Amino acid sequence: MRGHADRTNRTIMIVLGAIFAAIGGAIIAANTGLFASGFPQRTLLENPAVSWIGGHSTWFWPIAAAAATLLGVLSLIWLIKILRGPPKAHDISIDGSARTTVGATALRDALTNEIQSYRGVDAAKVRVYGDPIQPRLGVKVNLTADARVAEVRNRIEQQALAHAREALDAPQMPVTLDLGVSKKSGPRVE
Amino acid sequence: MVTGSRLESPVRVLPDPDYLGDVIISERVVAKIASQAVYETPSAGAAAPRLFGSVAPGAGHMGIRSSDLAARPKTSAQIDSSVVYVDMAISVRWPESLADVTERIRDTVEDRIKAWTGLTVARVRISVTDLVA
Repeated sequence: MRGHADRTNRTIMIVLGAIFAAIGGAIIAANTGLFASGFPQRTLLENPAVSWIGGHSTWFWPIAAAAATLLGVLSLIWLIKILRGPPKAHDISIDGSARTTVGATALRDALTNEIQSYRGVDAAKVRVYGDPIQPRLGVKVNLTADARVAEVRNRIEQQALAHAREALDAPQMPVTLDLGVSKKSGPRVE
Repeated sequence: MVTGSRLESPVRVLPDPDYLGDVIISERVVAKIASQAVYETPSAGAAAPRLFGSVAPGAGHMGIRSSDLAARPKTSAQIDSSVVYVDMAISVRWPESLADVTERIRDTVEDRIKAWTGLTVARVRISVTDLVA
């Protein structure tokens, strides 16, 4: 399931964008001579920051390297989190405790089999994720090329997904339904 | 001939004449009572074992259980003095309400074990590991 990290991604992007916009704005402002006189006339390396770094180079560069490594590791973690998707659920609690559970794989298999038996469905993939008390479903269905999309969609929503909600007694269980159309057509005699 | 060592042996305590002995109930008996209760529930039964999330290959052959609503499920019981803990892995008919079916099974198991063995049921843990259409 994509989209699980949308909110975090958006926040990080907004923060990064704001920082870079502020830096860019400051440089433009400096060039127009807003802060101090003489800034636009200086050469690129003739500025207080460069001379300060040059004067403290014994400890500045190791710290810069450590900070860059940390940033690299954080970026890698972010990338892995996005690519791996949300954690799968193992056991879903039925009565709110660990006394009665249903295996996520059992639910996945039952729902997949039901959707795949519908006419017009080429393949179905169900994923159960979220925590044991509030599971969520991700359903990805590939329809055959000649399927009536609205009809199949209605059937999935009103039968298969309704059955899943009924079995778990969770009428409000969130479900993401992802419909695609494959190039294959349904079985027919030509 | 009586030897010296025999004479030094401790005096045998005679048992209380009213004492008729202990009744020991095997854990397997309690487990069978529980599995029978599931067997008698029409919408629940045995579940095939799972391997890495999928039904184990060869289920239904060579003594490996297959998911079947008309078969006894795998159950285990643990008896701690007079208290019983029951664990079971069952299959339920899809799409029946799991809460209803498991609650019915739990009630039956608790009542039967209490009535037939006199043991108190502390917990019946039910894992639904397969849903049978």
